[in-house]
Parts: sequence; C-alpha cells; structure tokens
Amino acid sequence: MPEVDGFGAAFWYGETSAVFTAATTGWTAVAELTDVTPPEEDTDEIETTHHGSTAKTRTYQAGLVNPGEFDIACHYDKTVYGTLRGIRGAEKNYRIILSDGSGVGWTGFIKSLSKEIDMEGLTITRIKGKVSGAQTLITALA
Amino acid sequence: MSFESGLFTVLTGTVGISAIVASRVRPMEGSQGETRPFLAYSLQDDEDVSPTHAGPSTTRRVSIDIVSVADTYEACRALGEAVRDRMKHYAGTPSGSSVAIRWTRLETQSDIEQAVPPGTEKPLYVRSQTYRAMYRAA
Repeated sequence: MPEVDGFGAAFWYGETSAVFTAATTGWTAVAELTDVTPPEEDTDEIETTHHGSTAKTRTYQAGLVNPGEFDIACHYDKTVYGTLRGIRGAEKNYRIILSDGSGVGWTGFIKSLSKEIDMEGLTITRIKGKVSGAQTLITALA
Repeated sequence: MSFESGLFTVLTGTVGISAIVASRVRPMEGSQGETRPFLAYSLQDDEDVSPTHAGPSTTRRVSIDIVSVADTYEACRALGEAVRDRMKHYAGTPSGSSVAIRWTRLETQSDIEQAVPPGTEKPLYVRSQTYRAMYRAA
C-alpha cells in the first residue's frame, strides 16, 4: 500500500461550478498552509432497542450523515485574507488535495475567519467552514 | 543569508560596544591569548519558525549566546550592559547585510564563574547572555 505524505497538502476554493477533478481551472489555491483538517463525516445513530432485543443488547441503525466542518490555517497575507473575507458566508466549492493527487471536495461556506498573532512567530490566518451536502471523493486530478 | 554576519555588524556598528571591544567579536570563543575585553557568540538553535505544506517559511527564529569577557568584573558588566542596550530590542537590516532582523530580546543573562586562563594566575570575568531573535532574508 503506497504511503502518502502529509506534507504537500493543498486547499483550494472555487465557484460551485468548479469541477472537483479539474487540475486548476476554476480553482484558486490558498498558499502556505500550516495546518489542514478536512471535514469529518459523522453518521447519526438511531437507537432501535426494544423489549425483545436479542441478548438484552441495545441495537442501532445509521441515521443522517453530518458532512462536517473544515479547518485550515495558513500564513497571514492581507490580500488573501481580504479575498477570503469577501467570500465568507457564500456558497462555494472547496477541496483538499493530498500529495498523491487524491482528496476530497465539497460545497459549503466559510463560517469564520480569524487571525492568530504570535508575538514571537508569524501571524496565522485560520479558516473554518461548514460542509453542505455530501462530500466528493477525488481519486486523481484530470 | 547569515544571521551571524548580521549580528556581527550590529555589535561592531554600535558605538557603545565598539568603544570597548573594537571589532573583537568572535564566533564560539576567543582565540588563545585574545586581547580582552572581547565578545564571543554561538548559535544554540536555529529553527524554521513556521514550516508550511509548500516548504519552509522564509522566516527563522534563533537562540544565540553572547559572552562578554573582560579582565575586571566592572569592565565585564559594562560590556554586557552595552550589548544588552543594543540587543534588548533590535529590528532592522544591518548595513550591508543580507538579513532582516525582525526582533531580538534578552532571554536570560548570568555571570559565569570567574575563570583563569591557562598559564596565568590573572582571573578574567565572563557574563553570558542568551537572546532570542527572528530574521529573514533582506
């Protein structure tokens, strides 16, 4: 099984018409990422236990899928920050591409944009957002 | 890009320091028989301040020791204070340097024990200061 480096991950945003597998067309990369946390898909659990449950053991079935939230950090750049602030709250396409060209894409919106200011370090922009609808797995870019 | 060369320029370019040591600012330690007083510096730590997924950041953070060496305690203290006055907060691009120093600060300073150079009975005095600094290519 090939191992995939964490180093080299990329975060992109584009209009909702942007094709997830397109190499660059329709997409803008956010540069100098320091932390990349893709959205975690989480499935609701619905308890189906009843008085006749076998072996007195609770039973469940899967419910709705919560598509999760994303959390990205990058070196602060005032131009990039201004651009991201301009699309905050607007529905856009986003994707995270790993070093092997695979990744995940989704439609969603930026919920919060903030700066982390370290007196002895570099200023970091933190981008947090919500996924709306199912994620799209990307196996390779075209 | 060399932080040490920028540091050398800052120290020797400061009147309060050069009046005491001229250009006797040495890497690591002074040579045997070095004219005193003098300064010696050594890099303790040089780290990439914030590596990214695209590669190293252009900014680096260092920890550097600067040692003041003199024949009397008072001369050693005065030299240490002159260095501290310059380095407690420095930001700028030293003249002719390829390094832009973003900030410096004194982390700690202490008097090292009174030392006796080999072959002599005359003591010398040593004060050690550790500074933190951040820099990038100018």
